[in-house]
Amino acid sequence: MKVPEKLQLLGKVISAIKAHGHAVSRLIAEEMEYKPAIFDVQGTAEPVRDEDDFTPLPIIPEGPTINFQAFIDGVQRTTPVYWVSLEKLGTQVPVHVGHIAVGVVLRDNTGKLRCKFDFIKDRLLILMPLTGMERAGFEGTSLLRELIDEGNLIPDSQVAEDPISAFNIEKEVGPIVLCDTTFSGLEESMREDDLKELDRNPERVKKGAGALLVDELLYNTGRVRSRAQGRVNTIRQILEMLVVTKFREVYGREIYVLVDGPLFFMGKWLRKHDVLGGLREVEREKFVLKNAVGLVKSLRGRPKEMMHLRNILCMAEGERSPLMKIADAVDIGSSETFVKPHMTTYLRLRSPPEGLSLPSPVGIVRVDLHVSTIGCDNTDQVKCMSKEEEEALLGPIVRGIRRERWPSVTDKGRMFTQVFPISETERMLHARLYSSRELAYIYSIFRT
Amino acid sequence: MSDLGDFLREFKLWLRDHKGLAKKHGARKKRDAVTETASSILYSMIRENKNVLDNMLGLLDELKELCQTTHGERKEHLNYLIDFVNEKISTPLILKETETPAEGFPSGIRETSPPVREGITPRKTIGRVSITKHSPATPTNFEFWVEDREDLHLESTAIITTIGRIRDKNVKITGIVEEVRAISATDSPMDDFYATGYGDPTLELPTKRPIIKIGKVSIIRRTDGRFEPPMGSWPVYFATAEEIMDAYGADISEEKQILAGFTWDESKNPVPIFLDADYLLGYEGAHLNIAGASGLATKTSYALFLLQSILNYADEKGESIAAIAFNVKEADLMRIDEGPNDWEKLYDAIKSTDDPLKEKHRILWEACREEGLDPFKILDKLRFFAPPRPGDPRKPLTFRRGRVDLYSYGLMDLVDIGGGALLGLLEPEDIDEKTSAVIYAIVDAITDTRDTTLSPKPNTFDQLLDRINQLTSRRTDWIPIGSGTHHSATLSKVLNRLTQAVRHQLVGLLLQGDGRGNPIPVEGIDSGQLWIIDISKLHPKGQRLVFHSVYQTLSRLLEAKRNNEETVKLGGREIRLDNFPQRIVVFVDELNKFAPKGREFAPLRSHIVDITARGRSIGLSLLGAQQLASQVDEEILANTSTFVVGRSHSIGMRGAVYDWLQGGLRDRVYVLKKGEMMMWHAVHTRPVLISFPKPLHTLIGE
Repeated sequence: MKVPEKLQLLGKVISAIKAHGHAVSRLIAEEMEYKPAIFDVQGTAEPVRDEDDFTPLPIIPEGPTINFQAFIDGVQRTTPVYWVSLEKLGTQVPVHVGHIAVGVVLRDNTGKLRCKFDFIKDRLLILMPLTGMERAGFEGTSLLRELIDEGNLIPDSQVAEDPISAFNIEKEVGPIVLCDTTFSGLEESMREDDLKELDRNPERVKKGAGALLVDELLYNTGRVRSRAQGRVNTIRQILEMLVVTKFREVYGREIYVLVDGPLFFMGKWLRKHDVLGGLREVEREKFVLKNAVGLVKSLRGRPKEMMHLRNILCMAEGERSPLMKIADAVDIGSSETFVKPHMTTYLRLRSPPEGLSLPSPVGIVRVDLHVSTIGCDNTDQVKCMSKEEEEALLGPIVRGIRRERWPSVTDKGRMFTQVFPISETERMLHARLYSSRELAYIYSIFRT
Repeated sequence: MSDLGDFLREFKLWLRDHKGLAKKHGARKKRDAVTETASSILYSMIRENKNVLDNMLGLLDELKELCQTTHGERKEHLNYLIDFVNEKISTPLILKETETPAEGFPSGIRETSPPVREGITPRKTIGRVSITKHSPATPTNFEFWVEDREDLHLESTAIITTIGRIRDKNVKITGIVEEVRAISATDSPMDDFYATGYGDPTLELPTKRPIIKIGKVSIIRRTDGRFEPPMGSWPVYFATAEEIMDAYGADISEEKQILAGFTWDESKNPVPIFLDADYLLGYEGAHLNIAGASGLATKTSYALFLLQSILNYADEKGESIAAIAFNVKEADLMRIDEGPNDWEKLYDAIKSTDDPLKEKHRILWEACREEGLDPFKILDKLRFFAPPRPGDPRKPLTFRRGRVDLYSYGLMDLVDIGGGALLGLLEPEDIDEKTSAVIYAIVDAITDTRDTTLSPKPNTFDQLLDRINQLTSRRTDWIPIGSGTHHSATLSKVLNRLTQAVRHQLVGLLLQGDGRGNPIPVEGIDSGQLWIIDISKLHPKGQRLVFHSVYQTLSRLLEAKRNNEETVKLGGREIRLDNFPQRIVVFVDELNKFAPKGREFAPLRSHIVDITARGRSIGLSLLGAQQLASQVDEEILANTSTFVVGRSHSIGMRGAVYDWLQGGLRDRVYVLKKGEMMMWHAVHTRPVLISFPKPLHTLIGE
């Protein structure tokens, strides 16, 4: 059987470093081992109006209900494949292969899901703390540079600079992204600054979540691994954003799309877009995110007020939290936050048939909306709405989400929060990812 | 040469579909003739240049040149060939993209149809071969998933083809769909229950769970002849008529084809299925068994159709074959000459019936006509026989209203046939070593001129019964008859049974006071004839007697014929075999009555079994029918080359005799309609579902 071209290219990259370490014993994706925590981060959701309290509101069952016609999701797999020996330091660091897939699935009016292959994209990544490794005496980078020059490999900073050209989603097969996980951010200018700072004030750049993974930090392989996973996540979100943008270009903005996960800020990543590049960032974001609804299942950010969180966890099915604004939205791949026009509400999608003992997080999801989806230009306009007006605009969306409760999914771990079309989209996307058996081809590189 | 074969097959179908050489009398013959001409021309060309078929333009030029020097009928045939090649070359290809709004999508979302080439109908893929961990492909089976389209219907017994590419050559695998399943990713009904509002059946779900149809295929034929599984996700199509005929008929030469019925292609056109004459009528194989529920399986109707087909084949090919059918129940076969006697009347009769399937029968009869089957030919080659009424020996004991020849048997007629015939006068449970020894001794005593144990020798049943009575009234335990002695008790038992048969049960059939009656003159049957012998109103003993007598006589005659003997002795008569047919087909219903399973000692049955076992080598073919094949002697079934099953109950499908029907094909048998049968022939590698038209006489009414 012929080895796929993409894997062959990956093999070439891996062969550049093979003399300097050993292969992992088992190929298991990081995502299969990591379980995200719930409400472990202080979030910023707060009431829209000063007079709003946190009492859950009933979801009125009858009334206009939106029908989601497209579902968007992305999947990723980050698999350690090799350990590079850094003799100068006396340690080894893992090299990861990341595979991301993003897609849009449509639903016709008979209820059937249909794939649109123009909007299904996957890309390969290879991740390692390259700068840190070079600093520690690693010498296997010359072939990598050659591959970059040939255009078969692109550095992740180029993705930050111009994701549209870097990914080139018009092509089925794109270049492999070489991710330098030494740095927490993607932008080249920030990396240069960090490197300069490293010489001047190394302690500062080696602290905190955004620390440079150099020198003694390379002993902490756990950090290297989680940095890799986070980077894959970031790259995936960028690719997802590009696919969504293309989808909007083709199908317009009237179709309601359900997005798996939060609606992340994306305006700045489209600055080189042919058409959208000429708009302001907020206009770009509005173009893409109007009528997109994010469904967040893994809840990490807590609302600002504890009472609010308590009320959320005590909601019954058929109730929702009051509409809130997100005081800041997190930029992709950055620790910076921006005040962005996002609205949110919580609801309990499903509860177990045997009932729940409250308070409970089981079945709680967060709905993420761009303010334009409820017909407003900014949160001030939302502030001026009455409760009844808010209900008229938000009700159809919430009912639309509740409609997606059934059929439920058979995955026991997610059956209370996952919606079936997203689950099917994921299944379809997972089929595009290389399995560990296929990645085992890489072992053959090491044996030759 | 396989390329030439493919070319000629395509040519023949083109003649049928595009040149009007179809659906009329003589169409098939004409197609055969034109194809034969084409074959001889192309064969000579291939001998000069083996790649001639790879260059259509070059071939066309050569044919046109040849046409200039050809005349008459050959020129006409050649012109057909030229037209065909011309069409193959000059079909215009125009790419035309069509864009149609897709159903079910809101405005703004459009589906683009694939490009359509004018002039060529693209073959419609219906699915792909699916080779997985849980469903591996084997040399005999594979599975495929079916496209999710509401207008695409796949049922078991459909015939499909998958085409793959191996070393730059197309390989076709044709198979019959054994089973169709619909599956989803849901593990169990419990999951489904909870997934639907925790068991709310009124819930309307916004998203349909993907459900896919999977077909399981039994491989019939593979064009490269290999015994290997398909090795890829090959596209699957409904088989064309040509592919179906190839799958079931590639190993049957045209000279040996007997029409067995029709299966259907995707467009619901009938596709003929043939049996190999050498495997139905001898000498390679013989016998056919039909099973199915009474009143539902249409066993007799199918047998009649097959007899017509066999005799038609004999007539077309100049073969010397005749047929004898026993009417065992009701009036099944005694009215077969009461239907329409030409095609116009046939179509009128079909039109005026109330049968909801009349259109189907019309199509099938038309297809028969196209295949050259003329059901009216035998109408003037029929002869009907019936026994006389017990009270009035001049009148026949039959349901038939028309002309009938009477038959009867005297003692000497049965003696001429042999001991087995007289055994038929006893009940099977009465036949043991002792009683059969007595019967054989009686026959020996009568036929052996030197024997005096029964003196004076009886010539009639009256005399025989009287004689035996005298012997039993002696006060001796052991009585000599023939070359042995027999206990008086045994002799009394035999006398008792014979008296019962002769005086009561078989009055009319057996002449009591005459040594010779009017036995069925099987030695006088002519090639092409169909004789119907009515035994329906006889006592079961009489039925067994007549069947055995005829069957045994036929066997002797055919054996002699096969040995190239000019005459054979039957009783005291010397019978000439010049005009006797080379092969005889015998149809009998309720075969389990004549050759039942079980019973260690059953000489009557063993005669039939023995004859049947040798049947293929002497040209005697038994078409047996019964409700349950499992009740028929196993040796007869073991020697049978073709099995046919109509609608049956599950209880009737038990036993190894039905092992050839597996899975969904067996389930299909439970729901077959009248006029449908599942068939397995020795030369076919897999069963096939066939349909046949309603018999002529049933179109007029019961």
